Amino acid sequence: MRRTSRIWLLPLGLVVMAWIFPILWTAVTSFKNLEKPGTLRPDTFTPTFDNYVQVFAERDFGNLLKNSILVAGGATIATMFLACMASYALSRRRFRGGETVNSWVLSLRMIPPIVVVVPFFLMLDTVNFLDTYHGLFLVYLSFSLPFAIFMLTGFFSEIPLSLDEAASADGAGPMKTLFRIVVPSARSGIAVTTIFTFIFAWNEFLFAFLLTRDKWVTAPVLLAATATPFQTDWGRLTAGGIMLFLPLLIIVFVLQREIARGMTFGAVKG
Amino acid sequence: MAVAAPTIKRKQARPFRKERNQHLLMLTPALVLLILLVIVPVIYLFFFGFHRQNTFRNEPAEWVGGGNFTYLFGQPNFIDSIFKTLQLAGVAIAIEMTLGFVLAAVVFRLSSLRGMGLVRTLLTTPILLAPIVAALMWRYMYQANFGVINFIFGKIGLPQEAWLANPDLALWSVAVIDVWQWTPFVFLVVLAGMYGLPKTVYEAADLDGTNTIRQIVFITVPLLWRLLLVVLLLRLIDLIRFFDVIVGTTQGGPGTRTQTLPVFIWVSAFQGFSAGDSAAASIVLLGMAAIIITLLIKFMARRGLVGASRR
Repeated sequence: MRRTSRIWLLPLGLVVMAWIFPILWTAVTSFKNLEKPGTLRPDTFTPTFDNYVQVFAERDFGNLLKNSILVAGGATIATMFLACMASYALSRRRFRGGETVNSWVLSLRMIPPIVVVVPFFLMLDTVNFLDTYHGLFLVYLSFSLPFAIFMLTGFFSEIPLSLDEAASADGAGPMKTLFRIVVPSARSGIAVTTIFTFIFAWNEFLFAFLLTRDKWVTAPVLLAATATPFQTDWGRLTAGGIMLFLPLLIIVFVLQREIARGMTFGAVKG
Repeated sequence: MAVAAPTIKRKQARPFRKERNQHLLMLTPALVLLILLVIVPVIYLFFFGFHRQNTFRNEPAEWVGGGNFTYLFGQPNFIDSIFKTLQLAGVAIAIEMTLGFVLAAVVFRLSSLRGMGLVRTLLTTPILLAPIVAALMWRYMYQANFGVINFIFGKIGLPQEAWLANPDLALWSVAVIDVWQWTPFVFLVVLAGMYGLPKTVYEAADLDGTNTIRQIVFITVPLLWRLLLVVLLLRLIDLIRFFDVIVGTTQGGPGTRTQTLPVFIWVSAFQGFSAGDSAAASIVLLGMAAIIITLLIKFMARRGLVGASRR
């Protein structure tokens, strides 16, 4: 059996190479100087850091990365706090209708964002929240909250009830039980959920693209704006793309197990 | 005893009711936010679906009844955008499911070998990339004159094309980006599903001399079909809202060749300035999503996965 299986190694290797090639190619390009004549040819390569220096110097990219960190980070922290409470309540099943709320939250998670972006635009415009931190922050909660609640309810359900019964016998209220007992016991589930909530917010494009103009533009929006149909500076663009991807890549390699678990959760049980 | 019993009963019942109320209180902030941030926009959407309103000017909305819908369904562009959305989704899903399944089956068969963990990690990376960045990367590789794809194709004698500018190819070139990014997701989920299957079934099949292909067709697929269906529906819901990649590559062009329904919604609101038409088109998309979501919840609930219930 094993011997016949090994003939699959070669096609598998080719597929893996084809799959990581676009990322490698982007990384290589980000170290190319594409302004010199003839350097657009794919087979020339003289490494340089110019693109990274210029993307930060000329495009104010650092500032936009800061925006991305503040919006994604802020939304993640608020989401995790609110979702922990909500998921705890849903997972302990002390009231009727919890199951309905669960399905409802799950369906909110899947509403196409393009459907709500025009209403968001008009609503934020009315209250002058367009291109503000709190405006974008609130909009980000709209997709990160359902996701986090769905994930955490699953993880918290695995924590035995006897644990918090013991805590409440000692006189701890639900909030104390949640943050002293349940959250520490569901550490890895919390980690998975936090990472993915952050990644989704960090990678978000549509809302940031249509609901900001100037002050709170995030890094992905700038990258898209850099790529005009007429003239595109691919060197700086790829450098920016790599800067955006690098933090996530580090997370992937440090937390391989959690990532695989998080991605399959919801379709396959934890 | 007779006196003590009711006190005990009350002592047990009271903390329980108090606990329940506290739990409801903990649920409230998230629920209120969700109603404000999702339900209210959707109600607003239905309001605009039946009104005429300029996206950028604060004029009072004008009631037009079903006017926006009759207008849209009279527009060949709109009907076409629905058709293109389904075309794109159908082709991308067919490739993603097939390729993802085959990859999972191969890695599952080879899982005793070293390096399979690395294969899994490497294949995972595209999923984490922001779709907009993936789009820009591929746009760079797709360039007709200096793109690496045409360069490689030229070396090995394959046709060189203007992948995103050729009206016959643009939609499929965009589909390839999604296939690249999301086949790994199908792979990961199916692989996890395969690891969850009882080993004894395969051992028995091995003893009987059943070959790998037959094992997959007669054991793996029947045991995993519900999981496969859930994955398919998850991909479908993602593909009917597929937006970032098209904005990052063709913006709906050439002409309207890649103008899928989400792109149509965006164009009519922010380039055609008509919030009403875009809301009406959004309602159509929301209807499509609702069907898929209903099916998904049905199948996920049966797997005991909504709220990971069934304690």
